[in-house]
Amino acid sequence: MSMLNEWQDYLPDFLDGLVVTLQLTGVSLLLGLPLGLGLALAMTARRPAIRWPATLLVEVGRGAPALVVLYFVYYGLPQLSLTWSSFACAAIALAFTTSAYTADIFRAGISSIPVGHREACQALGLSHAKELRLVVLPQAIRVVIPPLVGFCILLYQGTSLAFAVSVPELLSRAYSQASITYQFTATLTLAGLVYGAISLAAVALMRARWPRRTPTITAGATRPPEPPTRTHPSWETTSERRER
Amino acid sequence: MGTILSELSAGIAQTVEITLASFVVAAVLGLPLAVLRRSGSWWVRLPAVVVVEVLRAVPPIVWLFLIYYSLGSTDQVRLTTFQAAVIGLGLIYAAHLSEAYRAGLDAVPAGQWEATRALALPRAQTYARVILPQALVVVVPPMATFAIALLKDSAIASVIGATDITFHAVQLTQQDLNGLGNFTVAGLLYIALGVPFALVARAADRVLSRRLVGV
Amino acid sequence: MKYDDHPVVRPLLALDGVCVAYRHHEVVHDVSLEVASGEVVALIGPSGAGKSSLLRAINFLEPPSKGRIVLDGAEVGGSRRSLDALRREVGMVFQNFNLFPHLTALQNVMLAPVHTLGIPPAQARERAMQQLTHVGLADHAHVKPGKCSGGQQQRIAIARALAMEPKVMLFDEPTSALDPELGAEVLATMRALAAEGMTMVVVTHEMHFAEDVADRVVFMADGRIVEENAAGKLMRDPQHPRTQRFLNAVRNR
Repeated sequence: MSMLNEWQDYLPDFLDGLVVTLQLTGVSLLLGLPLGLGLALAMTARRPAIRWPATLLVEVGRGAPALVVLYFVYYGLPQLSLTWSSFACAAIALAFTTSAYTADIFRAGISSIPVGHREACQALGLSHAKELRLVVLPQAIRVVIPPLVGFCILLYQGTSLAFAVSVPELLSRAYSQASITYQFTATLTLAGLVYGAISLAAVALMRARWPRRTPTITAGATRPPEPPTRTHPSWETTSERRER
Repeated sequence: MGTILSELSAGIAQTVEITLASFVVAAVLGLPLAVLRRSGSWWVRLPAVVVVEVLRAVPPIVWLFLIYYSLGSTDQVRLTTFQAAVIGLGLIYAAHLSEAYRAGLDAVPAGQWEATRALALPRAQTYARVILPQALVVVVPPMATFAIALLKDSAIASVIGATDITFHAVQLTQQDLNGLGNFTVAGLLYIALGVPFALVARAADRVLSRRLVGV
Repeated sequence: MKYDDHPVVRPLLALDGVCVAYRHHEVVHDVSLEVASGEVVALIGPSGAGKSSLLRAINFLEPPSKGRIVLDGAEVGGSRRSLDALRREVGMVFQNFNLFPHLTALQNVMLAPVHTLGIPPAQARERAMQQLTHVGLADHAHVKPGKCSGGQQQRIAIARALAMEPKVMLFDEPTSALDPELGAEVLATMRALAAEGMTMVVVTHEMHFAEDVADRVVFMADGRIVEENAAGKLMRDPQHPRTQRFLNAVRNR
């Protein structure tokens, strides 16, 4: 019972922290998703001068730990004489990580469009931009939404890394309460419950909406490892992509 | 660049140790989780499902805090940062790996299960002699993917004070204020450490596709 | 309007020494062909003969590696503008329809008139409805392709190409993906189109269609034109042994 009473005291502060957590998630998506789409388009471009830098950025963004990216921004910006708030630093870092992961999702979605549709566009004289806007992207978006939602949940959890640069988000509030009261079990359990409840609710909603393409919270990989089937080559390419 | 590298290399051993130890824990615990989740009776399945979902629904850093500051700081139990990191990451990745195992088990054709039933093979023998040997090769590539993800998540251990690459990079930066350089090298180190796993995955993929062609 | 008595005027479409190569592997060698306005040309031959590659080269889906393509007196070059002009004037119908599954039939047909030609949507809509009526599918205007039969999908695809009011229509094995009954309704549509005087180049395995509807039949094998003649003559009295062998094999199936 005593833990419940403590939680009552913590809750207002924690909810303030949750607001910061959600803001951080939102801003990272707002900046990261368009960038991710841009990177995906660049990765599928014909010209190597566009394709290579984009691929490099994505591979680095997916290959380096998000925490290292966060520190890079947080400790690196002052070197460029930029003094930004820790929230801004965390948002930039998480947005970059978001763009790298979602670029891979978008790219997979774009390449899932049959070549014939692109040929039909060419035969109809549509410009490259219109081909993308009117035919490729509207179709890709359907393929891409379940893994994107899965990534959003991952990002929501990932904002807890901002603790390391003292953004006053949910985990930071829990930790600072604990360092005053020394009630680590009560504070951290409550934080865990708040993170877990929202994640699980989101997963449940997702499964209700897309029962077949069950997206899950998957560490590192935003696409769940597909079950290997007899059509091996396609599986090989997706799994290989994720490793590199 | 060279001096940064030599400073950070002090943390390489710790990063690799955390990754490998957690992976062993995850690989060992993930298998029973996967088998339980395939059980026919819901009272066996349910606890396994709950464990997997809860482990994945809470951020890794929160798990590490709970284990290090709460469970591991009592009068009876004192965990080192290394132990706390390995327990936490090991459990989380057991949940992830159970998914990979499950996919592997699902990939074994139904006819194989039927054949073992027709032969009245005991359940343990069915798994040990028929199913797992076939499932394992299928499971290796996704496992390697998870190993790389685990390697990256191991950086979180630095937040509770494990002296890994990231920890050393933070320390160094607080002295020389060269965040751009230090964390560039740190990032590249993690990417480089992931390469062997990627190679394992690719080799397994090649074996696998050869087998499938042979079938 | 039969080939023999057709007066020699400037052809609507002329291919001159066209070669097509995929990664240095040439699949069409030095093909020259002229198509007059209103003429229907059928391209027949064994699979792998380069018929489809040649057709795709005509509207630069597969740019020819050598040779010239002249449409209505203007040579088609590699420039963006000349390519755009070409594709406005050449309609293409694919073996697999390639309709856009996220758009209704009407939206599929309207897309290019609005976005390539810049016609106001209301006007394009009218034009698209006309074309759908033309292929007998006005009642399917608001249905998505996934809900239509294969034959209906191909007719929508024909309407989509016609809505650009092209000078030439290219058909790449338009009935190969369909069972015979559904193929028949597509062939009927094409027959009507030919009767209206549309200039058509058709890659086909339908020998009856080639014989009845085409003015001229071109037989290709191994990336070259082996023989071409007025449809009736080539089908009934092939001169080249390779053509005879092919037609015998097809008829005795």
